[in-house]
Amino acid sequence: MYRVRFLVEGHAREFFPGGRHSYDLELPGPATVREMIRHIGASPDLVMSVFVKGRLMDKDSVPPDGAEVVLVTPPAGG
Amino acid sequence: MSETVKGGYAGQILRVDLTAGTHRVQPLPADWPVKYIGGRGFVARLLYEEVAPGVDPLGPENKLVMAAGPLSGVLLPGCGKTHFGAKSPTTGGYGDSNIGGHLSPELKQAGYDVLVLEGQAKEPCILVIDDDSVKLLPAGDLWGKGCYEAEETLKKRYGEDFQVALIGPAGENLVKFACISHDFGRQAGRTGVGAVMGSKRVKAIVIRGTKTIPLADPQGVYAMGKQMYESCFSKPGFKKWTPYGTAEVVDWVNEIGAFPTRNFKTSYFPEYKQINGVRLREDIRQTDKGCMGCPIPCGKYSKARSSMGEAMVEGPEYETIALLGGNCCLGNIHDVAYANYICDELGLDSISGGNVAAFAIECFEKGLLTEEQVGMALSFGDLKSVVHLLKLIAHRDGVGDMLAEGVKTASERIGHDSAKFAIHVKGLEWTGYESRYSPSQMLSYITADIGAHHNRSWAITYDVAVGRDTLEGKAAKVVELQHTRPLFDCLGICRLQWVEIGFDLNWYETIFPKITGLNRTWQELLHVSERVWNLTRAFSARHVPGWGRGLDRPPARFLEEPIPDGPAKGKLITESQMNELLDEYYRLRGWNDNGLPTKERLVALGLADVAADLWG
Repeated sequence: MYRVRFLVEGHAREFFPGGRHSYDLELPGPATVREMIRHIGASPDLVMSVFVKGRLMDKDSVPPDGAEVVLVTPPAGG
Repeated sequence: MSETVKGGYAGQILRVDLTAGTHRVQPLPADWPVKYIGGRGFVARLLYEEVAPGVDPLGPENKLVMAAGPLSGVLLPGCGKTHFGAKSPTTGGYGDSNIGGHLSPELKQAGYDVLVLEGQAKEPCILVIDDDSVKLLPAGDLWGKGCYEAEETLKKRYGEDFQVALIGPAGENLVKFACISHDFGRQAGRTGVGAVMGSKRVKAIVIRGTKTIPLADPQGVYAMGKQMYESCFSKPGFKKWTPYGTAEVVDWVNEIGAFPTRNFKTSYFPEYKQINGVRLREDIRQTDKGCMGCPIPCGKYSKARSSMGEAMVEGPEYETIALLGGNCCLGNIHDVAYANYICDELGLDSISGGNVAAFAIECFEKGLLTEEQVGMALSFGDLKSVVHLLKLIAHRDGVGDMLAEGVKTASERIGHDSAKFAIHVKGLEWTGYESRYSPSQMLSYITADIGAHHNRSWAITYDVAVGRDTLEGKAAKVVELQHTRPLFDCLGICRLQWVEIGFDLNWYETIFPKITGLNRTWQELLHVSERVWNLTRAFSARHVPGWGRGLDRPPARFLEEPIPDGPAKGKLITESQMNELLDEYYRLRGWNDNGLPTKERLVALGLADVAADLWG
């Protein structure tokens, strides 16, 4: 199995299913971040940035098995 | 049963009569903390009571108000917020602007929750407040100086423990979108508060306070404040968000097709990856910079190396990148940062500045402005064009005198079809979210109490979450956000900890009684925010003929021209869709069909005096 934990940050977390801080995913095989966001029932468009081990990643990248993936939703400021 | 305020407030208003050169201190009205909380609430109430319809926004009878909230200056995440307000020279209605930094903590420690500038000085002056000592001194050669130079001079003169709010040449010359600057790069940028300060001939307000801010439960505040910081530090987004600040959102706004581009002609800028948060971080950032008590500093000090020269600048923030970058088609982060520096030094709001520059360039392209009028050939993507226009505007030089009035007035004078692409609501230029494919964000802009500003309700993620083609539920979300977001401006605290890293709102409900001694649920605090929202609507309705449905509308470009390219290609909000949104919005607010608060609604909100003024 391929396992990933999503940690969701920012105000738009409220629009993720259940508005949860974290989601544990178990999939048959590797998947892109974009595919996995859809898998939990959220829109990839709600995610501004993706970080794995502190590094900025593309939504179309595939995190390593067991990764903790931080999804940052958009801010409004400036 | 009456309640006693036990802390959070200095308890006094400082009034400075610039005409007479005197000042006086009065107690804060006893019911204000309960009915209006602070900050934006105090500004709104004071202006409503003391600035009558018909008053010239740039005349001596207007008042410039600076106010702190009960959480301002109390060591909590984001406690450095200050609210400025006045009758707006930009819209003619209620105007205000929020600023980060260190001003309100200093004001409260000097013993005042509110500072009111009244009248008009005969000669340019500076106001120096040092606890109980209040002095008006000649501005001397500071008048005419840029914001950076003038603030540095004042810091050297008075010391680092004094905080400075000041205007640049744009404010002195009454440019309608002049800002009030502070801390070398922070601005209260919107609604022309800098022009009001300039009209009063006040170059700078210099403040130091050494007193203690009273707290209802000091031990409780300390313990909870510590927990709030620890909560911030423990958020996974904490370390991720700070490096890029607000500029991080540039990519996302382009990917969803909402980035102001080419004077809002379109909503996608092909060169956006050259002006995003990564470019800011890797190419120009020197260090991070935060406001008082901020654990997630969004400010970035940067060094621009542009084709027109080098400059140190705080920023650029997202809004500046959107309006000076995408909207003027500057596709290089150094160029955007340099244009940002020019705005900051001149004391111009970079949001309106970017709008007006883009509007002028489009006018030039269409032959509505000539090279002879402007002094050079203008083009999108050209830093020299943008800088040239900003300098003309700040000094009201030539065509800059007309452009200094903002796009609404400029389009009325230029005529032809220029009103169609003068991007504003009620005279205030649009901020960084193109909204033809975002109904709730469009509604947010056209109903915002100060004109086209995003900070009242930033609803675009809601559109993305529930569907951008549907109108259902959009009005309700906008009403909810218009109460939630401005509440932070009443409390006197930054909302970015909530918006950016998901800080829980119940912290504020819990800390509020420990500071003030007043027990309030979040819903009760939101009720106050609704009261203030109706108060500012009533203010503007009394001051501006036609304020209501007739002015709650976007520029014609957004109703008539589908987005020509990018991810939102072909999208548009129609007149009937806009009216459907407004109908539902007014109904939810308890307003009449013309968008004015009804007598019953105002009375229910505890504003019987306002109801009497509006309806007899």
